[in-house]
Amino acid sequence: MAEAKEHAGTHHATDHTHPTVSPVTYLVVLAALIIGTVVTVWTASMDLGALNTPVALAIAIGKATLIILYFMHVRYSTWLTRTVVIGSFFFLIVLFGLTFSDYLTREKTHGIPAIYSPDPILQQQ
Amino acid sequence: MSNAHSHVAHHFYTIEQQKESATIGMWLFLATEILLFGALFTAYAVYRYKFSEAFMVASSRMDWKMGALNTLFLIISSGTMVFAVSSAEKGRRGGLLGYLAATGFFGTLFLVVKYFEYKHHYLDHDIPGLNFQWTGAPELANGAKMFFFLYFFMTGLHALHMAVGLGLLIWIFITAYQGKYSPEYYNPVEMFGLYWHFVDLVWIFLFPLLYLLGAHLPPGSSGHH
Repeated sequence: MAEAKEHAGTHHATDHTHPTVSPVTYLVVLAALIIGTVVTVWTASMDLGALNTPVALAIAIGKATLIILYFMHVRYSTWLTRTVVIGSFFFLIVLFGLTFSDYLTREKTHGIPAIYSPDPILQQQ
Repeated sequence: MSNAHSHVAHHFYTIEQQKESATIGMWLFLATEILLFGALFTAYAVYRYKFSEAFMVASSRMDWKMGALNTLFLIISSGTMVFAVSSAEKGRRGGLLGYLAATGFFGTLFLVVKYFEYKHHYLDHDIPGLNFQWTGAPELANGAKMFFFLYFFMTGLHALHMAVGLGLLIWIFITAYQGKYSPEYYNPVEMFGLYWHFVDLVWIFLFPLLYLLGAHLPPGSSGHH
């Protein structure tokens, strides 16, 4: 990354860590976030069956990405900072992944006596 | 590099190194916050997977217009925050103070709306452990109770973060008023911005997952009184 190299290689005390972002960029991102909210409500009012939640999550992930890249300046940050950002979401995915590798496979035991599915959550209802 | 009037602390070589250290430190804190909320989102996902119909019906008791309004308040406050940081970067103290005040205004509006929502839930007997009464289909009662438990836990923790954010905002505003920030040094403003955007980010996921699950259901199918 050009910014990262320039940043690591210079020693001028007046240098900024990221280039000044134009207000137009911020306003476009703000507009996209507001439109995203309207689209979220609009798609939720339609019956998309099993797709309702994936669509809502896709829009939310898109909005979150815009906020992280532009408002939180990760697009202009160094790779060291980016590694921390990516790492935190990586561990979030590990949390979801390991939890659901358990719950999604337990569901298969529904036809088997409850002793093989000792989880109280799955036994309710 | 460092002299008596420098903003660079003695343990840093350059102002860039100081700023990057602050940014990484802030993101490491946000990583713990992501996992804190992440654990709650995981709990939500597990119970929703189990009680999907109950979550849908219970969610249709939410006032999505209040949630959408609050989403807009938070997004606009993130926008004003980004302009506050950019004013600080350009050394515009007036702009910094103005945008910080606007951020605080929209953040406060969010909490005001949240207060009225909670009050409405209290009057509607929606609060598990306090006055929960389910008037919908009895077989959905357990799942609905779990939905409202998660709703209050997640939005409550989020509202707590908003309150902490508003407290920090007052501190940033006072120090900005005292002229402590310059184009060379405005780390606290930018780090507070990261926190504020993170709180906005959490809400962007909470809104569709809590308010909109039953938005496609025909009117009257909820367990409303």
